[in-house]
Amino acid sequence: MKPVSIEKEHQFLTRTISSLSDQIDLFATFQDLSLKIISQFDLENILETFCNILKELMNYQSVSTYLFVEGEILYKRVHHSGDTSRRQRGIIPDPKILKWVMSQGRWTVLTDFQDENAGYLLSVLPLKAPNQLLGFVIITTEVSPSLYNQKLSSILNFLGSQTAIAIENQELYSRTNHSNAYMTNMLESISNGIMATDMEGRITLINKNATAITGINSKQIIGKHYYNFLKNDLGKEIKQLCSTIKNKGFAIESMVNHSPYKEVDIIIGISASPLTDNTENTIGIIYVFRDLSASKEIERLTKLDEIKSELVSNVSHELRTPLSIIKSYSEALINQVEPEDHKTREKFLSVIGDETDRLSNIVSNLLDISRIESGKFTLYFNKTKLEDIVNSVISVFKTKSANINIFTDFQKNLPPIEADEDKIREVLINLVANSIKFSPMGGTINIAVVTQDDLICCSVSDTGIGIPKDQLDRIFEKFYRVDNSDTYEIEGTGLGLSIVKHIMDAHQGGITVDSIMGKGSVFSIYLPITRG
Amino acid sequence: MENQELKKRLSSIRNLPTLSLVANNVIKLTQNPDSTAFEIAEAISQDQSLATKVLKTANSAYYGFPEKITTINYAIVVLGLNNIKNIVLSASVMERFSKIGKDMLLDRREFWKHSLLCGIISKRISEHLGLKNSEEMFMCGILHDFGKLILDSFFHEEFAAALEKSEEESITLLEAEKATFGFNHSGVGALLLKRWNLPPSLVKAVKFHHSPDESLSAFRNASIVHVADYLCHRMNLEENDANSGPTLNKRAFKLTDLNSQKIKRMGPLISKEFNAATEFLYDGEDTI
Repeated sequence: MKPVSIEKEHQFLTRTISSLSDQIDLFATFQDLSLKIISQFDLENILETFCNILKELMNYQSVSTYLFVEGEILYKRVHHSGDTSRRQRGIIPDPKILKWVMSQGRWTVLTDFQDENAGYLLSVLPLKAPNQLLGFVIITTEVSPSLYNQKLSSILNFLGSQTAIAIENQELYSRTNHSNAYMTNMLESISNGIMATDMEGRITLINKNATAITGINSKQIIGKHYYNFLKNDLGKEIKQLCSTIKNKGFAIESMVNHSPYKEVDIIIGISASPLTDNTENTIGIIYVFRDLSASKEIERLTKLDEIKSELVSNVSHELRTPLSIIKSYSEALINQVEPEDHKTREKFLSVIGDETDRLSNIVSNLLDISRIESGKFTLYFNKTKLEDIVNSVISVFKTKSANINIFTDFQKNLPPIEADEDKIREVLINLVANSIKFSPMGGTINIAVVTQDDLICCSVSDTGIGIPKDQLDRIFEKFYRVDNSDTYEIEGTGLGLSIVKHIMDAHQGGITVDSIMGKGSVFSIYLPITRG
Repeated sequence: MENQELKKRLSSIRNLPTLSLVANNVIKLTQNPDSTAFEIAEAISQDQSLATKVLKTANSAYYGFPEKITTINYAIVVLGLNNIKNIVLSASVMERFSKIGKDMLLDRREFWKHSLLCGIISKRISEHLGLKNSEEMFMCGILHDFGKLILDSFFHEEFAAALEKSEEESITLLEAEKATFGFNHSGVGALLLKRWNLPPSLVKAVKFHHSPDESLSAFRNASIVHVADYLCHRMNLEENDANSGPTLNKRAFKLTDLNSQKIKRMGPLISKEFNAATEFLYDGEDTI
């Protein structure tokens, strides 16, 4: 090797090493800046730190930071440091030039440093995050030809981008915080109970209403399995809902009785739906709890109210019909019928008598019901024969109903029974009257009395309009009337069968019904032969 | 082997082009991070024609600064040192090579147009990728086929033979060069640029622009230039389309994160920038 070559190599190496150590210094500076800026989460702190770093780098006169408000058209000053004289506070370059600098995205000096008239050196540093421009910084410094170099330019551009990222992070951070608080408030303000679990059943979220409705009083809930808190029927129900959702994947509703606190029983309505992420994967289950007790109670009262107003209208109608008949007949008796016309008078008086019976019947029905309601209903047992009661009832109807044939079929040697004769008569009158009432076109009624083991059974079958199958269960309910508006208009209070059922129950007997629409109905009452 | 042969051939040329003293000095200064704008302005002002060229380019529609730039100082602080370096370098290179030889095989204007377009696309791709050195990539694109100029100017007959061979045998020019010289234009270009003390990253991007796979450290830059070069031929923005384009390296294309839709969207922007950048094409009296 020639000495010249060694000399050259030496020079080259020295240059390379010094350039490398410069680079390392630069990297160290970058890292330092990055750490200082990025670790801030408050806008004021970020910009204060930014200004402090800038002061070390270039000893500015003033620094104003502007952030875009909307798009890249409107901006406002958010920070100012250094010289606060009016002249320097409001310096903004020509909008066209500013726009150009923003499009270049790097620190740009806008004063010719050899311009003798320039009082200060104006430069703009864009605040540019990887995906968007956030704003810019206007810096004024003393006019100096040696200010601008590649190193400072690199550092400032880096500082600008780091500051922009920090501002962006800070915005995201405060937005996340804000939306977190917002979500929490929303969650707590919902009047229903909300609980979410992951797929394993660990609770990931719960609001206060949910803990109140379910009766959870533990403080550490999040992250634990719901089975730790929700036991008994509620726990089982949730387990059931959970497995249904896992299998089928759609939302379901359910209801369960629950006792969250001692001596408090409520009905909880639960809506369970799958919780999906943005790729439609089910990542958990959301349960919405509602206390249905209040709404159930309201539902019951509303129903009762409806029933009562229906009763009032029915009863007043039922009372009015005989009353108006009685009134018109008695008026006719006084004003129009000659005192000598005994035949007409007798006929009119018997109508009045019948209607009075009907009235007293309705009134006694109402009294029965109110007695039953208030628990004052008592029976007076005596020995009697069921077939005798049947016969006496038939004799009442035979005189009244012309187009109805009533037949009886009694088993021989029927044993006597012990019963409240008046009440059983009332039962049979009710049943036969119903049969006649619901056979508007006429027909036959068969009354059979037989023994079945230790019971005696009396069945009343007719050839009337029948009762729809789905309403058979309900005809014994108080005030219930089969909806026959589109078949026949038949009057009634809806009390008769309810009283019948009650009388039969009080006798430790029973009543059954079977019916075919359009063919007829069979009501059978059962009474024990001997009373223990 | 190849390198030895290349070095031997190059050293045989006596008047191998060098950058002007001024340009060389400016490039050196811009590569030193501590050089001030003032120093660089002083250096450029040493060569009045270079200074004029710098001001003309700085005021071009390509940079689009809304005010007239009247001094070199102002040009430097407004455009930044990377842009100034590009202007000085491209102006010097174009000036140098416009003066050498007559009846050349390569039409100088077409050659520089292709280079400029490749530079603009390289810059666009870098910006698309969010890279910081898009200005350097612009220069890489401009100088990528620099070797062809050397071959055309100093190995004129052999280069003519290589061109003919590539046409006759339907092989790429690169293969024909290799067969004729034992090396190719990317190697020649890179070697000369290295002698001019241009940054190693630029030299490597030129060296591997046909084979980005071969260098690990320059893979990204070389890939960008490679894809830009390929797109130049595809886009047909240039009139001279005689040479069939290079074959596309799939790994390089993948790196650029482009697809036909994105390229289509870039198209109008690139031709607009290209039209604005004609100030870069040296229009001296001695051209052609």
